[in-house]
Amino acid sequence: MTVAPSTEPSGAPTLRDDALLQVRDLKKHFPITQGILFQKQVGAVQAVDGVTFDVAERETLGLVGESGCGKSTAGRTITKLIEPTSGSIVFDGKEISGYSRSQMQALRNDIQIIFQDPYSSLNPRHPIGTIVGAPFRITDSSLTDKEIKSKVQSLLERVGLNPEHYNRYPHEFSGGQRQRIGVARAVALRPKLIVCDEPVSALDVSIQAQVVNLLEDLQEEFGIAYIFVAHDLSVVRHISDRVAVMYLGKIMELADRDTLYSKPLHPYTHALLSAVPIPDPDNQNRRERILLTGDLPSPINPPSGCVFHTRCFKAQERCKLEVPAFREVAPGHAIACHFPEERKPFDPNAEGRVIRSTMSAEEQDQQLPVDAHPDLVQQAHQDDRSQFR
Amino acid sequence: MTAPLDTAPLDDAPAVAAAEPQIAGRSLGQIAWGRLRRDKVALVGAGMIIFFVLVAIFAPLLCAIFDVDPETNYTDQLDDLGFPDGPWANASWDHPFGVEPGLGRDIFARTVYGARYSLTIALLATVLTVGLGVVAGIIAGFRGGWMDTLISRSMDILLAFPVLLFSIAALVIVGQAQWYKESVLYQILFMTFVIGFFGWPYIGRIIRGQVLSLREKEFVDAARSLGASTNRILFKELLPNLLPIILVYSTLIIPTNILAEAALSFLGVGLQPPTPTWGQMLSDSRASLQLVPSYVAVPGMAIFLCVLAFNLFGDGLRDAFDPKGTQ
Ligand SMILES: Nc1ncnc2c1ncn2[C@@H]1O[C@H](COP(=O)(O)OP(=O)(O)O)[C@@H](O)[C@H]1O
Ligand code: SF4
Ligand SMILES: [Mg+2]
Repeated sequence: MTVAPSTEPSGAPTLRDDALLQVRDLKKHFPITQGILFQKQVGAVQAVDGVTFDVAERETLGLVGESGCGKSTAGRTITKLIEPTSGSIVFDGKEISGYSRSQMQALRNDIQIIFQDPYSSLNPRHPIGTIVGAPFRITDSSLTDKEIKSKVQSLLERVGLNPEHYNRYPHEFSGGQRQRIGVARAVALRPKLIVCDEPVSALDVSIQAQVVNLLEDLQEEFGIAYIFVAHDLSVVRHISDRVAVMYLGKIMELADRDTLYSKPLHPYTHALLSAVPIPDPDNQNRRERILLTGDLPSPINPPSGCVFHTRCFKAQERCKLEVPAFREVAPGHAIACHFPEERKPFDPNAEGRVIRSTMSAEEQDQQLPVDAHPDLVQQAHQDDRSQFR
Repeated sequence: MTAPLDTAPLDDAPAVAAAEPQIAGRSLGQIAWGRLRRDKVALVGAGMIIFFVLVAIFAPLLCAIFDVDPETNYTDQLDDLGFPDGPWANASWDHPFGVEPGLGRDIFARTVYGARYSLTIALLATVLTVGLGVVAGIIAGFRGGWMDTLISRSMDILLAFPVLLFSIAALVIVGQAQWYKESVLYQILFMTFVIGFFGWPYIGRIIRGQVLSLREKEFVDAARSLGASTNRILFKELLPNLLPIILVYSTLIIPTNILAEAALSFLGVGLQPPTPTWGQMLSDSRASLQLVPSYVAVPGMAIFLCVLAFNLFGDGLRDAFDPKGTQ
């Protein structure tokens, strides 16, 4: 099925006005300055360049994209750790994008963040009791040390740590345990929304599932909504209700989980999905591979038109000239592409076809099976590893 | 809870767990202390530091025991030419290190009182250096922007400053003023300023670099997202991470300052006589170096051992806090 490539955007994505978090056309441009004494702006890193999405209460939105595409910046802007350049962030009915630090104080109980690096996210000089107790100490000065200690201990127990260990220091814990400490600190104040910035990317695969399970349990128990950031589609598949795919500061495709994985429309999503390893090695060789050639362009000087056109295997002249609108093509399914097309991610008839963006349309018609091309197989493996670092 | 949590609640990284023996809540500071306690050389340094500090504190008591005074002229100990009336500067039970040629003041009394003045100036100057450096480094690193530019350029300028020449010139000029000559307190404060003020860019740079890297750490963002105030972030999150560096650098700056004080006193621009300092005694002993060689040895050894003690301890401290160090 091919969605009619219309020039008219068929309308902005349906926005739920009752959503807990509503992000509209959010931008974060980091200025690049030059000069020793008098600094003047010479450019900007367009880390987040107009993203629009909602997060409902108790919902998990997966946010996926290659390293450097602006996921962390988006997450930090929403938690107001960095100030947005423009756009709107409505949380719980309040427009918070312009909130000052003291105005944010009231919302600190409601929006929290979990970080990627379990080593740098915990102060090495504080015992974990102090770390997990900090939310209480900062927000409620009436609590006694004893009350805080008992709250901390029950939190530690809840995230699967020994409550007797509250006197121990971060360096005495493993990566997975440290991430649990970070989770305990984030849920301490029972927030309504937690931005999880690649919470499991630094962990062993065997431990990732445990932490994801813990986050799911806590979500059910406390009714938390998550923005779950990851750099590959396999991690968020399990936990997400909906998934947004980001590329170079923009959202390329946003859909509910099942639609995104089974009927993706955007060429970038196709490419990401074709790189997700599948357990069956026979199918692995037979399936269609879309290789992303070239590097992620610089967010300082993003490509004209569709930002993905330099690497898109379907790119045409129009893509270089015209920015595709982020529009809804089916209820709850929005994309930014001029030529969307449904493509089965695990096409059994693909016979290991390899599609590369550098090929012309004619070349694409005469695909060779991967096996016939040792070079390509080699490269496919390399790209597998390097693509999402 | 789900299955994986039930089966392995704590052992989710066996490799790491095995590498880390089960220690009951030892902070990085306690680990450093444990290492330091096993470092014999550092302990010797610490012992010597304690010895010198005790000597300085109890200088009047020590002098009382031997019934000597640093400013009394014991002329009965001198011969007709004004030299000590015996070998080793005429050392005896009454005058353990003997007396100086010329005025006949007791060398022991002057040395223990010298410890007072030398150590006081060195410590105060270190407090000044470290205080200025830490504050400047934190502001430059944490605030950034034009503040950072301003402070960093000031550091560059100060580091290019001919400190010794300036110190001598300043002390010579001030040294002529009557108020300066009459007050030991003013002399101590001025020496402290001259020695301490110019050193701060060294530690300031180190602190700035540390703050620059610390403020990017995610635990600072975590504190921010909890609504922590800037003060809380500075004093509760950053400062504990800076303390080891501050401590190590302080112990390494003290001996430099002892030497600086000795050098200025040796050049005659330090504390004014009759107030005793080690550098001044070294200077005095030059005239009779060949006839009374034991005189030079006493302040010389005092300076040498004191500087050595702080350096040994400072090195040990640095190793103990080194994150790459082994248990
Ligand atoms: N404080 C900053 N100043 C300037 N550029 C930044 C800053 N933070 C991030 N960037 C840039 O913004 C882009 C997006 O970064 P980030 O949000 O960390 O990506 P991701 O989390 O998806 O890997 C990158 O090109 C990065 O270099
Ligand atoms: S708009 Fe063009 S370049 Fe961009 S994703 Fe669609 S087909 Fe590719
Ligand atoms: Mg990131």
